[in-house]
Amino acid sequence: MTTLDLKVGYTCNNNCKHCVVGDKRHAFSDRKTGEIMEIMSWGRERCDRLVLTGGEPSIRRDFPELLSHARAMGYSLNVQTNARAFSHKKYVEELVAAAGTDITIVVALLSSDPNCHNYLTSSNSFRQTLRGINNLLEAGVREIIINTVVTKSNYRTFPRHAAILSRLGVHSVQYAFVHVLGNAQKNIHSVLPRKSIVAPYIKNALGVLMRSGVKARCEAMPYCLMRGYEDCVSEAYIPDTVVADLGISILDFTGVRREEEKLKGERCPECVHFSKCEGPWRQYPEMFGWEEFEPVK
Amino acid sequence: MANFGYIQVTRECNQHCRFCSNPPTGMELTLEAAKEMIAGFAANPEYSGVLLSGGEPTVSEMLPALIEHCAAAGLHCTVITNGQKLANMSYLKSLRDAGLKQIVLSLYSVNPEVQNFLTSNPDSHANIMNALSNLGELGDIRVDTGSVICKQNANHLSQNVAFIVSRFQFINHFIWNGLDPVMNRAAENPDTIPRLNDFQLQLALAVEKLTGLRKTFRISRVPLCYLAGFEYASTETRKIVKGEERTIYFLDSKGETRQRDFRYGKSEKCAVCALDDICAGLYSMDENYFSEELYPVFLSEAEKQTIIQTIRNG
Repeated sequence: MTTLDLKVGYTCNNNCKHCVVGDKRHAFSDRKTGEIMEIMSWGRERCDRLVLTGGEPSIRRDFPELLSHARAMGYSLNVQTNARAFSHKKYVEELVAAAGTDITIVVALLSSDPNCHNYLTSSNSFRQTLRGINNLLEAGVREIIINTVVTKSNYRTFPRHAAILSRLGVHSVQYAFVHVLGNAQKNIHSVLPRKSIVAPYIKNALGVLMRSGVKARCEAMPYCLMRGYEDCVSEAYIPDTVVADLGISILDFTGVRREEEKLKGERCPECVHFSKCEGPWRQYPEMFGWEEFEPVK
Repeated sequence: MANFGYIQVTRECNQHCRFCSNPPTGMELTLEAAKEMIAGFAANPEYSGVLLSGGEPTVSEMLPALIEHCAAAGLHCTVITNGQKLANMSYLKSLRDAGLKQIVLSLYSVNPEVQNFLTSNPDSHANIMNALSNLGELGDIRVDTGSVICKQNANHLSQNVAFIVSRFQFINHFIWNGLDPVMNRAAENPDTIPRLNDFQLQLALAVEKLTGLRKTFRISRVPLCYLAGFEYASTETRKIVKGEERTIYFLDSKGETRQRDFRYGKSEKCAVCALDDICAGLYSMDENYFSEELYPVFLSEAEKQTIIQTIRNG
C-alpha cells in the first residue's frame, strides 16, 4: 500500500514547541479546495491510502467535503489532527457522514498531564483534545492512533501517560522522537532530549501499553536504543510514501527519508540491525555525535 | 539541618586553574583571625562543621594548626584541596596527625592531558594519583572528590567516575560544581564555560553509575531540569527545602558572607515547571548560561514530594 501524504496547509489552532512546519506558517497560503482535489486525483494513480495533514486539517471549512471526495475516490483514509475540533460532537457527526467510520484518525496528544500538553502546544488545548478523542471513540471510528512526540518536557510523564492511554480505548500509540525542523529547530536547546535518557521512559510506556493490548510503536529511535523492544520500531511498518508538501512534491519520500533525512554512523555497519535500521534523524548526530549509538552484536 | 562554615585560609595556590573562582587577591588571614572564626562556628549550635578552602589551603603554613584548632573545638573539619602536596606522604601524615578527618580533592579529569591543561600544571594528574594512593594507604581520612563541570570535561564525566570507582574504591562521595564564570579567571578563559546540553547526558550516566554502587553525590549550580531523576542531589535545592544557610569568609572584598538565598535566574518557562519553587534556577542567566536551554518539567505532586522527602530524610 502506497500512501499519499497530502499537506493541506500550515494553519493550525495550536503552535507546538516542536512543530516541524512551524516556520512555514506565514510563508505559504493554505491550499484551495480545488487544488487539493486535483492532487488527490493525481495521487490516486499511485497511491491507495491518503493521509490528510497540515497544519490542522480539521479546522478547514471544506474538511468534510475533502473527506467525502477522497472516500468516493476509493482511498483508505487517515487524518492527522489535534482533535480539538472533534470536541464538538456535531463535528464528529459531520466527519462520519462524510467519511464513514472506516477511517484512521491520528491524534497528537503530547502528555496526559494537562499542564505539559498545554505547554508544548502553546495553547489551552488539552481538554478539547481529550474530549475529541472520546467523541471519536464513541462514534465508532475504526482506528484511533495517539501520536506523542518525544521532547525534553514530556518524556518523564510517559509512564503515567501510558497507563491512562491503556484504559482510554485507543487502538495504537506511537512515540515519535522529535524531528528537529521548524519550531523544533528554533527551540532545539529546550526541546531536543538525549535519546539515552528518554529511552527507558519510552520502553516503560511501550511495555505498559502492550501488556494492556494496545499496539505500541516508537519512531526515530534506532534499534540499538530499543533493545528488548525491537518489534516496536515504527520504521519497519511505515508504508511507501509520496509527499505532496506545499511548494514541493516528493515522489519517493521513503527513499528521501532513508537516504537523506536519516543518517548512520561509522560503526553502524557492525550492528546486526544495520540493514533494516534507518538510523536517527540527521540533526541529532549532527548536534550530539554518535557516542550513544553502540552496534548490537 | 546542616549549616557549614567556609574559611578561605589563603588565596595563594600552587596551580593556576583556567576557571578558578577564587584567584589570588593578596589578602591574608592571620592565625588569630582564623581561630576566632572557628570559635564562632563552634559556638553556634546551628553549624555542624567547617570547610577550610582557598586558593589552596595546603600552601598555608597555618593549616595544621587550624585543623588542630577545629578538632580541639569539637568541630568537624574538611579541607578542600587540589591534592598536589598530598602526594608527599610525610606532609599528608602531618595533616592526619593534626586531626584531619576529611578532604574534598579536586579532580577535573582522569585524562592527564585534560587535567593538566585545566590546572596549567603538567604534574597535576600524576600528583593527584599519588595523593589518592597515599590516602588509600593511610585509610583513616575520608576522601570525597570535587569537580568543576567545564567544557573540557563535559563529555567524559561518566568515564571520570568509572575510573575513580574502580581504582580508588574508598571514595564514596562525589561533588560536581557547575563552573562559576562570574568575575573570576573563567572570564579570561570563556572557552571553559559549558552549555547545559554539553554535560546533561554524561552527568546522568555518571550519576547512574554511582547510584548503582550506592555512592552519594551532590551537584551545585545546575538547574533541576538538567538533574532529571536526581534532583534530590542539588545542593541549592537541599538548602531551599531544609532552610539551611552557610557562612563563607572570603579573602576578598566580599568578606564575611552569610548565604541564605539560593536562587538564581528564572525564565518565563520556569513559571509552569512543577519544580519551580524548589529549584534555584540558572546561575548567571543569559550572561554565561542561557535560558534558551531551560525547559519546564512536569512531575506529579507525589513525584515532587518524593524528592522533598528524600532530601529531608538525608
